[in-house]
Amino acid sequence: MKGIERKDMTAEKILIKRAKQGDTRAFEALVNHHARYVFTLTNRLLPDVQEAEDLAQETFIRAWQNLAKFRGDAQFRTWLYRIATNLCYNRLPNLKRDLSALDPDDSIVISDKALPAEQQMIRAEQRAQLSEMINSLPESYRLLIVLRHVNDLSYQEISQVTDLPLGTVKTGIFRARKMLKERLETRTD
Amino acid sequence: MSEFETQPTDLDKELNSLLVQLGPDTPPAGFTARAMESIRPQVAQEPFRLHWSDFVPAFVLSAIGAVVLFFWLGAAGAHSIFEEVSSPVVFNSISDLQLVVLSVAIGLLVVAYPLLKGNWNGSQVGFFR
Repeated sequence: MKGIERKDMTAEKILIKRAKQGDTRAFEALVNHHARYVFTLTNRLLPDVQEAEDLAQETFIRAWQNLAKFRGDAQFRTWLYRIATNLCYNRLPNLKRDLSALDPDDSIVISDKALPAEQQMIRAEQRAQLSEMINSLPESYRLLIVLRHVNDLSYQEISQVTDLPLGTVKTGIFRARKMLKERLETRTD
Repeated sequence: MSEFETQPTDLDKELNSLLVQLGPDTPPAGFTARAMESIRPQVAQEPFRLHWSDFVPAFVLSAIGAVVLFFWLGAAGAHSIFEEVSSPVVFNSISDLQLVVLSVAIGLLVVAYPLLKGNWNGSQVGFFR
């Protein structure tokens, strides 16, 4: 898997280089690759699908306009999600405020390793229930859960995307998961 | 607050299993096409976008052209050192007019190459893109 990931990253770097030189086909390939994840981010935060799509498209428009500024220090997806998150902050003024209000809890010990999971496939019904549970979370927790568990970012990357301290990110995700577990337990009972 | 992930509970594992398989949402049909439609006017409005690498082929061709011209001019008698290295069979048959034509052709190639390169890449406006 690591070899395939490395190959994908090399291919993406080539696309980014070509897109920087004005190749719209290369940029279109990048859009195709990242559209689902950017749309998920906006769709999970905004109440309206059309608005989520508009914001997701605005993300790619801004990415095209500012492509020359992307230096490659971070991954391209991290940079894209940063743009999308900032657009969400503009659209949802309470979001950034609520995230900033999270007090980092130093007693939480949390690692960045992949979490242990059972291997059974979930049914469509379970997926719908999980989506509903995530959608019932406050916006701030929803954003963190999506970035962590759908967009598969590390805590450090989430900290960069959301412009929050690492401790705040960990605390937020811990509390979000706690809420999800409570809802899961309620449904199981 | 208890330590997290060092001793995951069954509920943790169940939640993890669900989260791992959740997957991203599918954008509405035509999402990419609409995004690119919004971007394409940006390209038309910004036709001039130069990159330093655009000049590299021009420099290389210029250097090659300069070397070729250098020897040919030498062959035409501009510098005595070339009389030793130039081939009288080839160079003596080249007239001044041919030298001028050759110089202009190389110069046009140096300028035209970036334009041609741009069109091969499919960019809307070759060198100035």
